[in-house]
Amino acid sequence: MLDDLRVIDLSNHVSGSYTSKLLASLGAHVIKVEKPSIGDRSRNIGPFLFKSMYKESSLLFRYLNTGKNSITLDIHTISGQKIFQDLISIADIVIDDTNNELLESHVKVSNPSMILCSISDFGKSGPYSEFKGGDLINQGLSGLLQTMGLPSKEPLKVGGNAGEYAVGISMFSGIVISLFSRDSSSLGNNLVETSGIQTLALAQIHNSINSQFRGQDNIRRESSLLKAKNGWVSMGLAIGSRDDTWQNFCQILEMPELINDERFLSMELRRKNESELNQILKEWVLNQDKEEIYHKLQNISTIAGYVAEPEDLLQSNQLLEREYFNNQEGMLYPGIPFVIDDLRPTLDKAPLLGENNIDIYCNLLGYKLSDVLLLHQSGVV
Amino acid sequence: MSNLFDSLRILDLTQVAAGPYTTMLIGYFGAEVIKIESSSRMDINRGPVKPSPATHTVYPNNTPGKTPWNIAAHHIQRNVNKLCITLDLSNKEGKEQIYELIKISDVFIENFRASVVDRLGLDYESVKKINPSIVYAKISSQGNTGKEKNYGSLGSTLEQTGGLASVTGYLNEKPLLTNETFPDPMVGLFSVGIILSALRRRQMYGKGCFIDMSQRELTVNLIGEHILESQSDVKTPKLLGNSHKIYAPQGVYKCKGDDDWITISIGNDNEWSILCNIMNKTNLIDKNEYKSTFDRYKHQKEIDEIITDWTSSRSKYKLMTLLQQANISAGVVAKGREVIDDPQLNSLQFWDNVNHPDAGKYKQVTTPWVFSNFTRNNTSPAHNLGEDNQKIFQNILGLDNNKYNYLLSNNVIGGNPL
Repeated sequence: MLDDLRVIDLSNHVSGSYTSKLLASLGAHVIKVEKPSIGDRSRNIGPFLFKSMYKESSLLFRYLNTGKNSITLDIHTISGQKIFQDLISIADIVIDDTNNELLESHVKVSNPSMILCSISDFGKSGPYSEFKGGDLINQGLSGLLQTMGLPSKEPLKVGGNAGEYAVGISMFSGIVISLFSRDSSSLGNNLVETSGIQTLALAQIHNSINSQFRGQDNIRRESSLLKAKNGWVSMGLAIGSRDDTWQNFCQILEMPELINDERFLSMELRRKNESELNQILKEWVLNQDKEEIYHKLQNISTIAGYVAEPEDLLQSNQLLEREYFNNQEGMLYPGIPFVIDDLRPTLDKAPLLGENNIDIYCNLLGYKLSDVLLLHQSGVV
Repeated sequence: MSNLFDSLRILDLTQVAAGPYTTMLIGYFGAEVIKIESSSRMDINRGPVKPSPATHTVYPNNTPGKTPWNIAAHHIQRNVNKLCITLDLSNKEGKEQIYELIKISDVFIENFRASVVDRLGLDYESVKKINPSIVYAKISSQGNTGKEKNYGSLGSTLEQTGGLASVTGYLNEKPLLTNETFPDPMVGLFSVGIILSALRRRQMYGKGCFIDMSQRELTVNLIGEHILESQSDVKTPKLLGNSHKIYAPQGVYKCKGDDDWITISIGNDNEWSILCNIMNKTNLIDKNEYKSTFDRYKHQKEIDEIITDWTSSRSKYKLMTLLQQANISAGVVAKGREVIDDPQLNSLQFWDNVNHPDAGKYKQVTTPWVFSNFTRNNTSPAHNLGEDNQKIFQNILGLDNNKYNYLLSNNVIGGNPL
């Protein structure tokens, strides 16, 4: 769908790399431009494949950069900048998540119709634009942190790098929107910006509602997950179930006396009396397998869940049946999260640092091999 | 004003959160979004017809009023920029009307449990017969295929089944949920890009398509590196609280004031010495145990106590200014109201001032982007149930009064819940 587009990816964080991965999954040709010998920051960030960390073994990098080409270029040298302008002139989109100030002027000169994408923590203007952020800081300022975690403890961030992936998704959709503007006008100056604070403020669907309409800010609350034999589950009985769900559930429990218990007759009551209900269920749940509970309860039309560990996901029948995972060199990668006309796109494995130098510099940009070798010797490439 | 999608018409059969977010966002750029409900099955966001005192639906000033389904806050918040019509899709005559709408629409989007549209005769094959170039987006919990395709979920379920909860929790404790159903807005935001990419291809080649989006699969995408790590020789703990191996110390620290907190994240040795200076703890700078990021990570618990000692008697906003002036990553943990009043979000025009005719004034979540060439539209407040029936059925589909009134009196369409 985007296979007519060439993307220059200058990003150094999870967010920008995930953006260009999503573009690649729709067919865009992504060239990752990395610092000579150092490479993308995530090459040095774990998790790693081997105990002895070396930069080609970062699983974070490998996951984020499937389906891309990698070239090395020092864009802070004069000859590097000249090459960079050549690159820009044949590209449609450039992604920057490092606040590179030079970029805008380069783009103006070499390719006015280029879509220039800027990912930042707080945006390019406004009172925090010079502030230093990061995933945790952004989650705090956007209000997400305050509502997460237990009431008796400090606010807790959403785990892993999920906050940064969110920003990557935001930029992906922002780029596609701006393609419609670029395709229909020749104005140039196609700048699209997103930030951690905007994306994560959007990623809350209750907070602004409760503080304005209920007059109460959201607060942290106790966990509603119950402990099963081998992990954690939620029963999903308090919302989104059918009329006969409760009766069927009591039969699974072998506790028919609960069917007419006035505390649990409706979803609303089960929500209101959730802690009493959980008290009753606790012992039963503790002796069951988490995935068995999930399937049993889903089959009587609840929205039950179980906390899937990565190992569980790799064995999920549903994900396997849909061929979600992509096998690369014996490892299962989470695949592209959509299927179009029954086809799930797949992406090639992530490139080694500078793997596509010759292909891009010589074949695409028309440099002589001997020139590229000279640039390599001087550390520009 | 944005007229980017002026000629785009979207039939929106989604409800709850993910789908409504998608159409809300595209609606900010001028698309005509027609939200289809029925008077017997409204969007769950509209809450119960007769709310009991125990209801968890949120109303302005906690007052449901005479037509609570029109002012339920969750409906108001995510069904902006849409036209609202009602149509009984299980009824033969209702089906005829939606088929007419399908003929003149560009996008069809739904997020029912997988097999509901088969039952309604609104699956992709049926819809494609009526409009071969339509872009059909199906957003479902588990995708459109597989034995579990009819499983249902909310965002809080997806956090579990998509593995996000397995990496969210305090250091070495138990998995926790976000309390903000994080996957829902993610799916909503992501679907914007996928649907518009499909439309772009249609503009170029005239070809529609069927998009099968599994909400669980997108959620698993957000923990990709953990999935890979679980297959490697090196396994590190997944529950890290607020700490981070390459930013140490990093955490959330108690400040003066009720449930007031600040985030601080130290990226290198230089920043550590700046922090020590600000805290007046210069003796820590050369302390061997805290020398490198790795050392500080190892000793983070005791460092956290030292930092808390310093922050707990100070105001979070003053601390943020002080630390940011010294070029240290730090920020307040903002409460709901503070986020709405936040000077940065307001300067980016993230919130719109909306005056809803029945629900009153409030600030509306908008879009996470700034574009140089065009701006999003101002928010058009959420519509009442069936508010646009006449406009769509008479002005656009051209039903005469007789037919329209016939459909009304037979409850095929209607503005009041049954």
